[in-house]
Amino acid sequence: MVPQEMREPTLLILTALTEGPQHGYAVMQRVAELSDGRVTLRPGTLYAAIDRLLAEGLLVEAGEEVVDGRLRRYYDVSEDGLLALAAEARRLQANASRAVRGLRMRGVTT
Amino acid sequence: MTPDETRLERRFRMLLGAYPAAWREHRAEEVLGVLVDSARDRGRLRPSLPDILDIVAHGLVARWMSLLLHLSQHVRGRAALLVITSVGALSTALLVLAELPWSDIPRTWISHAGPFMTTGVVVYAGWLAALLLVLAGRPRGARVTLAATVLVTLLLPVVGRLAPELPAPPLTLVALLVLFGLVGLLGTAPADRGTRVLAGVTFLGMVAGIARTVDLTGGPDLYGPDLPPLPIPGFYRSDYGIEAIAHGAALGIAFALLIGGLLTLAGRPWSAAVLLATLPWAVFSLLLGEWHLTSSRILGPGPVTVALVLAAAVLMVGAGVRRCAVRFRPGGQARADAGGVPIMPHG
Repeated sequence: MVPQEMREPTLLILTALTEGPQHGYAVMQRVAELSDGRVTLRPGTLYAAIDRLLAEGLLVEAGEEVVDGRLRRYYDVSEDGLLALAAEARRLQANASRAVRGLRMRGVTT
Repeated sequence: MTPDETRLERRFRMLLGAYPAAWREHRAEEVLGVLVDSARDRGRLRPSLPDILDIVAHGLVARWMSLLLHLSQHVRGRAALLVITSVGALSTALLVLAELPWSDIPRTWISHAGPFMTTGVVVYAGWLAALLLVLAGRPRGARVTLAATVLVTLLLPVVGRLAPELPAPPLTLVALLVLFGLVGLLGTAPADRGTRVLAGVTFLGMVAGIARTVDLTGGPDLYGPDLPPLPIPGFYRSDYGIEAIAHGAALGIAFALLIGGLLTLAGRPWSAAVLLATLPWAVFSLLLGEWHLTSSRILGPGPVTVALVLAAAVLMVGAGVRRCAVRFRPGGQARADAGGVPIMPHG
């Protein structure tokens, strides 16, 4: 089966979590930073993605704590998640290399 | 917590009510914290419009998904097959009865979309294409075709409003076809040969049933002697088509229930799929039936009603017999499908 292309928010969430377990709000902020503010996840979208990634086994829950009376649940990327992210990074890198080669042939530097 | 924060939290909590209870039990407190932190950092004292839309839309999607999880893949696939087959028959009836301009009514009296009465012809063609793909053993192609057909159906009223020379079918019919489409998109129709033959027979049976019902419940009396004869015996003129379709819809329910009953008796757990596929038909029949009662030719006691009662009885007896068979099977462990009908281990 041909692996499905990973959508950008998914890629950014997994990338954010490669830095270690984080809670939902921290993931939202990190995704905005990683994309230079281009991708802003709202809570409904973020948790829909988290639920899907947990169901696919790409994320795992990594504990919880109560801060200022509010529940914080931490998430981490699983082994399968790391493999999927690595495959997607290779795919993007290969495409980018081809694009750069093509541009060089037309005299455009990147 | 300040009064402002308490108010903000109350509003977010109310919005999270869009999610199903099981989701809220696991996630609500956690997401509430994220929502409040995020709003506070942005200096907001009430939920922003994008936040409201985000929460409500995802909540409703989560509710829909949770509903789907209660139906097995088999049930959804079979319901899709029944819907595609029965709406394929309905589309044939609509194409013949409602779209082809049989009558001599001057064109200035009614609008025409090219050679057809309305743009609905595109939608009916889409359903028929989906049916053909199912019969050809291409259920995934049928699903894609159906998804495109649903989108086109939604666009027809907009096109009709923007371009009056391209009239859409009645809005009631558009809404119901979308409802049929959503049930049809719940799953992928099974592609085994036996099921495809069954779908073909059901389709032909329903088309023949519609034609026959039209004949039995009035036939030629419904059009005046001054109008030209119809090219197909037993079908009404386009402007009387809606009555035939009301009868046809009721007959569709009867046929689906009958097939479901026979399959249940034969050990194939189709009852839940039949009930799911029958739901839009029931809405359709009720809506058209209500309209129909205002005319002199009501959908009263007659062959259609008898067929409905008989078919429902066969379905119930079939389910009952299966349940008893499993209960009294020595050492048998009964499972049940989503319709509550036990599934035999070999079924």
